[in-house]
Amino acid sequence: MSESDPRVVEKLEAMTPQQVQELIVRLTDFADWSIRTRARWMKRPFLPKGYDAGSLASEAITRALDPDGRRWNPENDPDLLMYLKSVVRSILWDLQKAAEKEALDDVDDDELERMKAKGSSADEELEAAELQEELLEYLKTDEERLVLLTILEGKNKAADIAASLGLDVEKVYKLKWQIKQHLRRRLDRSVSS
Amino acid sequence: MTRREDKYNESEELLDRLFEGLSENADVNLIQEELINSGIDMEKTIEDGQEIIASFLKRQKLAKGRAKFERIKKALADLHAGVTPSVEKARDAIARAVAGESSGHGFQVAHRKLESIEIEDLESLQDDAAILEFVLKFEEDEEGR
Repeated sequence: MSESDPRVVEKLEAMTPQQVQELIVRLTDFADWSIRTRARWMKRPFLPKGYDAGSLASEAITRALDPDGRRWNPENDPDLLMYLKSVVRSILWDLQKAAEKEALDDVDDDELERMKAKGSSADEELEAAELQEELLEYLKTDEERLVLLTILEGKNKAADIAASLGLDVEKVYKLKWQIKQHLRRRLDRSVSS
Repeated sequence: MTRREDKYNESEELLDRLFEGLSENADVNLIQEELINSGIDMEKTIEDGQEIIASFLKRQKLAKGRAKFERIKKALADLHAGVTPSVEKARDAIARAVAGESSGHGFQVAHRKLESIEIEDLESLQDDAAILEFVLKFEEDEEGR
């Protein structure tokens, strides 16, 4: 094994066991969300048998620390969790591509042309707008919908959302948690084989 | 619904942005509980992640130790072969090998320690076992400081 960037070692050694545990939990949460949301575009299960958010998080950590691969560089990406999330996206992207390639073998030429035509920017915008509508439908109260819309407008922080909607900050945190729960459950589709 | 082959599409970007917005300051214990309720073995996931990081750090320590050993071995081989022109230069070379740097605190400390070692004692380090013993003794003194 070749020697890695000493800054990586330094950063990891500086983390407490609690910080490592929190990193893994938050990464797994993102992996779980990503699997559920990516499944929307897949016509068939795209994860290997037995592979779940936990496996995905572990694979991302392994890849990020592989000194012979595209490893984490703390200078370019100071936030390890953010970097690990990008690795999760990359792994899922590869899995999706592999599954789509397999699916294309079953598609005739006319269908293939229709699928290619659908990939325009205008189509993507329409799809994103439809998705927003769908997400709003999944929520139970107007307060949840307003918070979701405010986040989609680019306001992420609870304090900003609270100020904008005239709500208590703690209430916004609670609403955010509820929204995430509703969406996670509703976005779940047939994910693994 | 289909996806473009060549890029991260708008809907994926929207959903990832939403995740960030909804996760701000979310309680890690609640997240863990929710993941467990979704059927994810969080005990194993956490253990696996911790093990990957611990094993990476262990391997890095070994690789660092091995690289240091090779540097010192090379500096001593140069000394034996008469490549190093003076006792002072020999100590410089070995201090660089020990510290892994040619200036700075680590280098200064190593140099000072080497000054208390006779050059004949350094010249007597001929085989791997003797060199390893020297390195370990050096590190022991360092840790005991």
